[in-house]
Amino acid sequence: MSTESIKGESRIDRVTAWFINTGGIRRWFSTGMLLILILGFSIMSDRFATFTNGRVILEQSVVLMVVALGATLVIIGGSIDLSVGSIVGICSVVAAMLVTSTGIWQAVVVAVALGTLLGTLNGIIFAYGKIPSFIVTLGMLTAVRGLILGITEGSPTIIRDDSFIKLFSGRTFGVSHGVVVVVFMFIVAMFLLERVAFGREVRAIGAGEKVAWLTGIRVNRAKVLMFLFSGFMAGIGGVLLAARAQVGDATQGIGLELQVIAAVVIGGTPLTGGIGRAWGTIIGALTIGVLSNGLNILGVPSYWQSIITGFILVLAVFLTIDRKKIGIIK
Amino acid sequence: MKISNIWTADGINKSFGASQALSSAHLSLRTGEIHALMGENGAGKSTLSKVAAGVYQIDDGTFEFNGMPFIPTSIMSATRAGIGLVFQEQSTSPSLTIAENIFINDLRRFRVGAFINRKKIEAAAAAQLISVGADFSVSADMATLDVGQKKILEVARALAQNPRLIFMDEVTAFLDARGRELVLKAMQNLKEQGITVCFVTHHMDEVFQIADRVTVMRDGKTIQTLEVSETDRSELERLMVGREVASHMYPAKNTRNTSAENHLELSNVSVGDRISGVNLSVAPGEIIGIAGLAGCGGNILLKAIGGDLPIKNGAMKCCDGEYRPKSPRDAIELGIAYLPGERDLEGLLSLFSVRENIALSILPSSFRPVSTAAETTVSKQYVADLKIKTHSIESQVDTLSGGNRQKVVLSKLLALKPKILLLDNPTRGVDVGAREHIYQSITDAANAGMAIIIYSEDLPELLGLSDRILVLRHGGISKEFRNVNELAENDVITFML
Repeated sequence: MSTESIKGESRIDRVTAWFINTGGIRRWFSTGMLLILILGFSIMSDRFATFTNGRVILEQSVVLMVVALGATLVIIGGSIDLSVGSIVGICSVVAAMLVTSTGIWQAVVVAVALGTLLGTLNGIIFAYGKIPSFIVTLGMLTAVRGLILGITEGSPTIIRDDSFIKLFSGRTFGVSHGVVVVVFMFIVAMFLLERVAFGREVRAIGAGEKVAWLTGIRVNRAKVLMFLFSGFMAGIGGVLLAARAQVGDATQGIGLELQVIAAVVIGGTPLTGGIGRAWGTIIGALTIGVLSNGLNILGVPSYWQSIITGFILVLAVFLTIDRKKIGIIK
Repeated sequence: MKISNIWTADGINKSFGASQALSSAHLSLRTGEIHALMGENGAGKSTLSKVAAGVYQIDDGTFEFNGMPFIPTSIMSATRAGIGLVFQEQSTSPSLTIAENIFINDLRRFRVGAFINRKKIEAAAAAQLISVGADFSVSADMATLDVGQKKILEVARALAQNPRLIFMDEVTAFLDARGRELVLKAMQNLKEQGITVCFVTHHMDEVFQIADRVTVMRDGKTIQTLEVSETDRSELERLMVGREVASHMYPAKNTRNTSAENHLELSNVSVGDRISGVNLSVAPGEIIGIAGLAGCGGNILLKAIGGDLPIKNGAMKCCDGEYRPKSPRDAIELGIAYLPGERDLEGLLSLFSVRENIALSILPSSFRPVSTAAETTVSKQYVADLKIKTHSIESQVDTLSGGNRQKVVLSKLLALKPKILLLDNPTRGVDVGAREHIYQSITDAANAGMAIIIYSEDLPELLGLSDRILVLRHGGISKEFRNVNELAENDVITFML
């Protein structure tokens, strides 16, 4: 009896030790909150925890997940990319126009190349022009949104090519194609962040640019590459969005950058740079997806959804950031 | 007649973490005198003036001000009591007017409703400028003031609080001769108004030009207070240095064969406006020490060789080729590694582990895989070689002590297997135990054929390690000592001042 209770205690101790050793609340908060949300919605509504609804949540979050993975690199590098919403917008519009006029693959290649190009431009102006990334990408956000209006002249392009829609937002054996793209892009992001030296360079720049420069890291090159990657992911996000919406419209992607930043931050990547995980960003994007889907099912008005999302964003930062290490918070 | 003291300190203790900055220090200031505080770097003079003015709180001891016990709890409480402080660093705001800078702590005096009465504040500011003897008018643009004039502005700002006593912490350190004259004249003006001035300085000339008395500090203790008229340069130098060099801390020299061929040659090199016309060469297996006061430009010189700053004039040659680095990367590719003076800002990534910090210099190119196993091997080797005390190589580096953090930075450089090693104050803020390990690995590196240049504000360390010593004064080399073994600190200090 007594030995058993000691055993039981030591198991709890071991779990606690494991929890603390793997990063404690800072590391596990986002996952824990996602699980609590799922559990809560499942109890409150029997329409929430179904296979179909789970798939809907994933499919609704596909664009956010891909774009947020790209932004994760930029934020780990200590910068910010506000232009992703506009880049997603222009890429989806361009894809929609080209699918109708020229063909699927031309549309995809041109849209993704355009996203990559705009991202690279962000990176070059930021790194070599020495202008804060907040300003550079804010300018890009505004300018590209204007460009979208100019191209579309305000009227939407409806996509009638079913094979394009099927390719990027259909399903095979019940598996959504968009989710497959996310899995693939997640592997790419993991590879860049964890496997090759580039990820370490980006983290070093975010953790201390001066140190990185003095150690011989090509800081400007790495900065351009991380914005290039963010633009590339926004390009893919644009193609996925066009296929999901079945239309290219001037309003697509408006405000997406804020959701992207929220997903990255809820996922445990602080805006101060130097640390962060691709996996956390997926969790963060899913949290936003689950929250909006669950509240919709419960019939909560949309203004409440905004209030709750905002609250959770601040709570996530409050619980996951080590304030002792940041001298000045601005 | 009894001479009255306006301020006395007795038995003052102050420590920062493990290092004891002040240990039972004492000081008395007579009413209306100009009192100089001298000592080597780390002697405790700045700390003493900062605890007096409420920047730091003392651990132990007593202060008396105007015959009453008074321990300031903050800068504001000291100011209100009548004790002012002027810092070494610039602390004026370029976006305010001169008058606003002077009365930054007291703007409500000039408030009319929600606004500041511009005429009133400028008239008051002009009066302050006159009493410090400023050579610029209150309506001048902040952007047109040079560093010396800004320092005068800070003196005026301190004066605006009607202090009875002003501490000045190395206010002339970054000033040129003209700026220095201005500040000394301002001190004289303060004295004439009956205000007591206590200033920290490295410059002998200033002491003999203006001070009434001088107190020498060393290792956090007060050594002696003297009448300036009854002492001389050499006595002060002797009191400042005084201590025996703990010779056993430094590994034996002379065991190296320095080859005749130079690894690095500088001819007539100028950097910005802080270094001009420096000639220097270093051979494999040689340790060169650069001595100088803080602000002499030694750090700038090393930055330029390490590729962090561009050189303005002159030429550098490295391994038979013209050498003109555009970035630290260019330097590293030629085998030149630079240890920055600001360890925690320039040397270490506090968010990274010990392993990731050491491996930062040997990262493969961007899209090649990193090998954690190889990084672990290298890190473990240096942790053992330099006796780095850490829980594990995966511990975050900011959990280590200052000395061990410095060893991590040194390991990062040694992992590059450089031909030339540039060290900017390699043991600043490092405790004695860790110092010995660092000295040993520097000597080992030289014995293995590395060419090493050390700039240090710690003179005993330079004497203990170097084969040759160059003295830097005001950005130029004032003396070269080829034989270091017979050298005493006083011989070198003479050329630093």
